[in-house]
Amino acid sequence: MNIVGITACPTGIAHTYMAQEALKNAGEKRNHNIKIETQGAMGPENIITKDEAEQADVVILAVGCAVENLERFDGKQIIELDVGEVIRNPEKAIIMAENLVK
Amino acid sequence: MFDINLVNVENKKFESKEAIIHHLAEVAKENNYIGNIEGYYNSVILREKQTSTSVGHGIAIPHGESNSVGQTFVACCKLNKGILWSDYEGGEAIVNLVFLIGVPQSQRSREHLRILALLSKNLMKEEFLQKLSQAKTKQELYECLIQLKQ
Repeated sequence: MNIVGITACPTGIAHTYMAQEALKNAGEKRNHNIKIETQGAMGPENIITKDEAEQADVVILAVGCAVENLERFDGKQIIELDVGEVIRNPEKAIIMAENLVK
Repeated sequence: MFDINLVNVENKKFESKEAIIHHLAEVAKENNYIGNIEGYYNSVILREKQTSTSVGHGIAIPHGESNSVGQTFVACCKLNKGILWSDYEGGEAIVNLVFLIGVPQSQRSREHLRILALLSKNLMKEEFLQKLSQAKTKQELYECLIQLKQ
């Protein structure tokens, strides 16, 4: 399955990057293609292109604040989760994504 | 931004997360990373109220951005007596390793933000967590930080 996502948190200095790493590890562990963009204090990084957005089966938003450029994902299945919860239990986010496309 | 003077292993029992945050902020002030403690402390508590910074594995990473911070720092404290880290939504966890992060509000160093991101990502990695849990002394804990890997 192709999963893309965005992580972001209020200060953008820690949780954004923890959630990215947590989702990436959990997604790969369950054999998915996963790419997570960070919208943190350093600005958007690991940006999901329009093509990658189009190829995605599911979009995971692990955010604790407003994020930019969501129009890329118009028409996609989107899961929105709290960034702290994703850090504590990333596998749950991936399983939710799997269930959504079943 | 990693400074051995900001790293410690504590036997003392702290009563609350506010107490350990305040203690580490004082250590940062003594080492000239913070001008005014209250300005910085309030920014950390405000952030804490948005979502808890307890991130699992007995670790919490309270952080704040404030003009009271002169230079980015990471104060790190291993607690031999864990504390109950309650969040404002009613959840709680036992925490025995605290990273208190301070970032200036303006004129931030991109390089420092990069290292904080690296620290954050490593806190999600089994290998790094294991090193942290094995570190028993101030020196060993400090070495975990300066050996952070991409």
